[in-house]
Amino acid sequence: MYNSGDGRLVGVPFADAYVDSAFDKADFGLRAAPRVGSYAGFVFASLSSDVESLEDHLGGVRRYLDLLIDSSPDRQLNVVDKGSLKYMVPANWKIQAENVLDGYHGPYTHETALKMDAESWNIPDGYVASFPHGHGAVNLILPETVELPDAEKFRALAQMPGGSDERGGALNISGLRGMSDQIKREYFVALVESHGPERAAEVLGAAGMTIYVFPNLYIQPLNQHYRVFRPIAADQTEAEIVAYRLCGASEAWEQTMLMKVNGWATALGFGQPEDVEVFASIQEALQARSVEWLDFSRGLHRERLVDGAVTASFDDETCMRGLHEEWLRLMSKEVV
Amino acid sequence: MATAEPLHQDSPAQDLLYRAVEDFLYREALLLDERRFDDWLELFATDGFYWIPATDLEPARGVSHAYDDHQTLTERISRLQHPRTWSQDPPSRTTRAVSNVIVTPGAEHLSVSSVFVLYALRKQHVLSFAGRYQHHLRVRDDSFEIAFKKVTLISFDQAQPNINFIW
Repeated sequence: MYNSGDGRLVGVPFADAYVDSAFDKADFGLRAAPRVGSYAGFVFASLSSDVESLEDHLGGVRRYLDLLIDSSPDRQLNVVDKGSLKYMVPANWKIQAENVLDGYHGPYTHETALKMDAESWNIPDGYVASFPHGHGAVNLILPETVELPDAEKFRALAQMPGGSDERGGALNISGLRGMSDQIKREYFVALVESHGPERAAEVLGAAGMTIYVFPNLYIQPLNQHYRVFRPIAADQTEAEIVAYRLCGASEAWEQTMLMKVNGWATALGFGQPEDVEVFASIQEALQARSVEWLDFSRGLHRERLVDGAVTASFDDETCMRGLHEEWLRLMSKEVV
Repeated sequence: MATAEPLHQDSPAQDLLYRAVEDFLYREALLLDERRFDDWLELFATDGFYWIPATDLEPARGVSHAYDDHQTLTERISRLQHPRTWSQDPPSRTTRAVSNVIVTPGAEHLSVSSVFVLYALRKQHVLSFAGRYQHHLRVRDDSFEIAFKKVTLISFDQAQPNINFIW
């Protein structure tokens, strides 16, 4: 029996059986992860002590985690009680990770959910940002938010009493029924009141972002959940979806977001099953010996270094390159 | 309350009702296994809900694998029939047995509990599932309409494989 607070072994059955033994309970406690830290409410652990501080490890992706926290009017996210479910990925974990950094699969993989015509689809405004250590952010600038990152407009919006706000459609990109204008308005107003119009505009300008923290955390604010990927075998991964609440947002907002999680991200959702089927096909295709390399050169010529992040167009493979570079770096390290 | 008691087949009239409910469930299962989703949707009340829980909480509180009103269900079926819904290319081939039917009459509808066992062929693998259906059936013409259908898999809280069909 272990102490649930500190993991010490506090009891064994019939301990007098060890009376002449070198057995010492102190040697058999639960092992602590050598490094544990938290940022933005997420707890991170490293099984290696040979790592830098969490803040340094996260580096530039912290800016996106800060935006995530500020998407709550009270600057706090709460995990929904019983808000988690799991799905199986019959593929390597890196294929799932590549997917969440991929801005161009939407109109092809999700054609039937997004109701987009892949042939006539234009690359939307947006960018990818790849940070040191393999982290990434994909920020789709939602067409409806193009006008939004303007503090003056926000100030005006917050002061408007009711009425229709077409621009609020930004938060309904999935094609599933989203927020009513009224729910969005209440949320906008709460953000402006709490953070001021400038920060509110920054937060809403990033409403289409997704965040990837290497190796296995992914956050999708558009359908308010995060995912943790757990490799089970080389060709098997388990993904856990966890819905969260934005403290300070209305109950109606939270209800709608919960429906969006159900509607998009579950094994019967309108989005995720298509992704998983593609992962399985990629895993199968990778068994072919005649093709040695995958090409990840898309958009290489468009990359620019901005504030320590490599950025490129929304549809470029910059973040996938970052993911694989970090994986290669770690896997090439000499084991001490 | 008398109306909350399960119905027993101890009178000719009740026996007829039981057989009508069972017949309805068997035909519904056949429609789903044959992927006649449009015909199945015809059986669904326009104010009905289709729910596949992922927790033991109500849909407004916990996450669900699916929680569809009629409009979402219509979209779901349209997607399942689309050739570029990759998760169903090719479609899962299913067969299900429905059993252990218990009918409880109520003021608004019949509440019907049943057990299902479902096999699904996905690519070369046969997956097996089991669980319980709960239907709320309203009388419509000389048959029923589905006002509510809850599908509780015994594996509801486990990691799910490709189960993207109508349950």
